Amino acid sequence: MTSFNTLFNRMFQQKSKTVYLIYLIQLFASFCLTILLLINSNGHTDQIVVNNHHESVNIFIVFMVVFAGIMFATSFLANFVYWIISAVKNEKIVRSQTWRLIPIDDTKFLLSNFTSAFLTYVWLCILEFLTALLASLPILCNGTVRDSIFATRHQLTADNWKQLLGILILTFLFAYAWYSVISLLNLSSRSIIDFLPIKSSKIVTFIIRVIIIFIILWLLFIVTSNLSQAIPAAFGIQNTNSPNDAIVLFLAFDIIISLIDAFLLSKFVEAKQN
Amino acid sequence: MKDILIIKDLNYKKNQKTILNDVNLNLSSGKIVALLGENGAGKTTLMRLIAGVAKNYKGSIQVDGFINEAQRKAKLSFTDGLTGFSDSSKLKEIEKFYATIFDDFDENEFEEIRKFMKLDLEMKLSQLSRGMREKLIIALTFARKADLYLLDEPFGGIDAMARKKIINSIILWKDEKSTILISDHFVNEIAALLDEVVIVKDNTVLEHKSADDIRQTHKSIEEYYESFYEDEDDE
Repeated sequence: MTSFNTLFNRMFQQKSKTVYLIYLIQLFASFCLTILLLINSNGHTDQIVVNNHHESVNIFIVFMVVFAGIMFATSFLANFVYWIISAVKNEKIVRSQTWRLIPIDDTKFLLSNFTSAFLTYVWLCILEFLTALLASLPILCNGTVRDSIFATRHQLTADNWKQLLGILILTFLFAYAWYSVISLLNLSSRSIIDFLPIKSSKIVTFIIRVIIIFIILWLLFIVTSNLSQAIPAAFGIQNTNSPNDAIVLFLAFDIIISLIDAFLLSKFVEAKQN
Repeated sequence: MKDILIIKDLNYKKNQKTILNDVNLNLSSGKIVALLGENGAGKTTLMRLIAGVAKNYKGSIQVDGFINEAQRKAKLSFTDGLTGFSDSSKLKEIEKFYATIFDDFDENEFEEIRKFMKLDLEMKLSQLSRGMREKLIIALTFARKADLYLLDEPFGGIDAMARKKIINSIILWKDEKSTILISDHFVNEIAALLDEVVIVKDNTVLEHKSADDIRQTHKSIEEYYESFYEDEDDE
């Protein structure tokens, strides 16, 4: 039998190839955008403003700061692209006979698929953060900038850290929900198609998927209408609700969808024939 | 000799169409068994059901006493089309994947079969011809030390010369106790290897006989197989 760790490592390695590709494209695009931005700035690039003080800096530092900023800005697009690609990859793995022949329990297989996709996403975020941090190092050597950052850090209270932790957990649960909902769409439509008296055609598949999307959206509406009260609480905007409500609701949602996915995978969804 | 594969009352439908109906089959350890039947008879489906990649069936399938699909998969090695790999995957990457994932994958055995098949580890999947791809699949399948090998039309794209060599070597690649279930259209070429023959027709296992019995009553295994379709040809 193959262990969860072995399968997870293989899936992580496979999916990290996508991460490196996206990261390299993002790096190259940020580099080009930075050059374009500096060329179009008509030479007003030798000063930055920190706490209303104008600080003179050299062009290299400005380049690095702008590059860090663009890396941060483009990370939203890069992350979005990764989420789409990784969801498609996840579903390809689920239907691939090569992967489905691996001797492991279907629930562990599914869990490994979701978590490896999410952790490769975290790896992409770490790469982006480290690049932005490295690019910001020259400016962080500036005493005024450093003092300003440390001052902000000291203003953070225990509640702020709690909220930060809450946001992190919610991000994890949201990412998991994304992969499990996409899987639900794929697995449920596949199961239904295999039950129908007619062989699957593109139009039948499309109609079934549209119906399932509506059902999932309806379910999501019910969950999010509850979350709409709980999420502000998690961010400390309202004090009347428990700040953990959003996390509990999301967790319950993830568990229920994953259980349905695991059931469909183990009972109905076949690997694609070669 | 114990039974490595026990199939009881197996029924399988897809899109409300019966693919397999009331299949019962027992295979003993150490045998080489041909699974014969025309296209669409359900040979591949039967193998996929045994391998645990086709679902939603009625009845029971046991491999070495295990009904659980994950445990069954650990006991068998199935010729897979390698669809889980991108065309840019190198053979050495595929070998690494198998070596990591399957506990019973023997890298030395793979190396030996790979050299026999003249496969270069630096080659990419996209660079392989159909025949070379089939050879790689056979090498990967036999590099696992499994109790049951499921070979689904493994020689399709392989030229006649290489096919003969591979067929003659199969007996060397398998352990004495392991069983091979092989579906193929080159009945004459594999005939010498066979211990038993299973005929799949009309959505079920119609006959399961020992090759020796067939040789006594018929000119050849191919002639025996063709006798099941004589009536249809007359029509």
